[in-house]
Amino acid sequence: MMNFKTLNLALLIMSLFSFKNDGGKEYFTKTGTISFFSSTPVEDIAGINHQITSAFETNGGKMQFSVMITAFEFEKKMMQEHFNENYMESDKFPKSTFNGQIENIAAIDFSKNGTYKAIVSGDLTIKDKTNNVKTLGTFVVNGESVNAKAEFKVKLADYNVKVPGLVRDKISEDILIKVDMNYKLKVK
Amino acid sequence: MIKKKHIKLVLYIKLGLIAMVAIIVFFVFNKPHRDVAQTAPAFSLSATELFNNYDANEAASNKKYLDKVLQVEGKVLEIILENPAKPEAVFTTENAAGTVTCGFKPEELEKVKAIKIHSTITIKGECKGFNNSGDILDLLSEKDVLFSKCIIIDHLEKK
Repeated sequence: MMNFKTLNLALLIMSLFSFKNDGGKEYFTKTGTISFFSSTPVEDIAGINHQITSAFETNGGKMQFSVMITAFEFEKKMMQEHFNENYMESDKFPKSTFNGQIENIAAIDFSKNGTYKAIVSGDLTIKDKTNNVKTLGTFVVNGESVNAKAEFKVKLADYNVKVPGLVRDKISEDILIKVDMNYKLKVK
Repeated sequence: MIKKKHIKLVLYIKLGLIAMVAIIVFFVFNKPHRDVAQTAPAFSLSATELFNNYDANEAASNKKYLDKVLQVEGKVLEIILENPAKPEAVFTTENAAGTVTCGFKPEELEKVKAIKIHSTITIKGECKGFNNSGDILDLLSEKDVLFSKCIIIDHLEKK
């Protein structure tokens, strides 16, 4: 009888510990959207990629993105070709990555539906250049889904994106990047 | 008189040339996107075969497959409908390291919805390369060959 009680107690303690050590939750998506927009006197250039892979952890706030440069879509095929061949050299640098963290992860309650401000910072790698970026985003928690939105600007020169002289004054130095991700709780 | 006529003719030829150049430039700038349905696949292979080729040598595989229209047969692991602009089907491979993911056109949404998990289907689409950032991104360690603009070619129920 005594043994049974001890066993129960041991199981209870073990379960408590395992609960404490579950590492938090992980959210994931394969169909996130990243778009960018550049206005030129001739025409507006907009690229959109609906196949962004990304995940974040609620414990510690680690957040990562993997972007296939080749999967950006443009209204005109010509723009897509120029983007891949001249600007991004996507045969040499097919992926772009972000490795960072949600700095204020503790302020976001993933068990309570609502809108939260998120400060995200980390290393953004485009082509062969890596820079630290920081932006303010919005997280909308809705049950097991989290929609995360953010906007930030990147300077083309910071990432070795060379604009040919002919169109240099037509393409703005800063490009606005919009991120719109629908994460789902990852079943472990 | 003759001189005047001559000048006029030169002017017309010049105008004609300018118009032709303008038309050519217009068509070059506005050349249409490739119609996947009308394009013969550069290669036809299984999801496992394609994945293994990429896993063995990404650079060589990109040379062979990147941005080409391929026909791929695979067993469906998962259907992803979270983003209506890009319904996706994920093929399992016999390689535990990863998958092949096919992004469809939004027009294919109803057909994608009808795909049964574990069934074997054949798709045609543009190969967008190998998503394998696991060496730097530990949360995204699963490797994946990515496709875009896919259409469903064949939908076979296999036991």
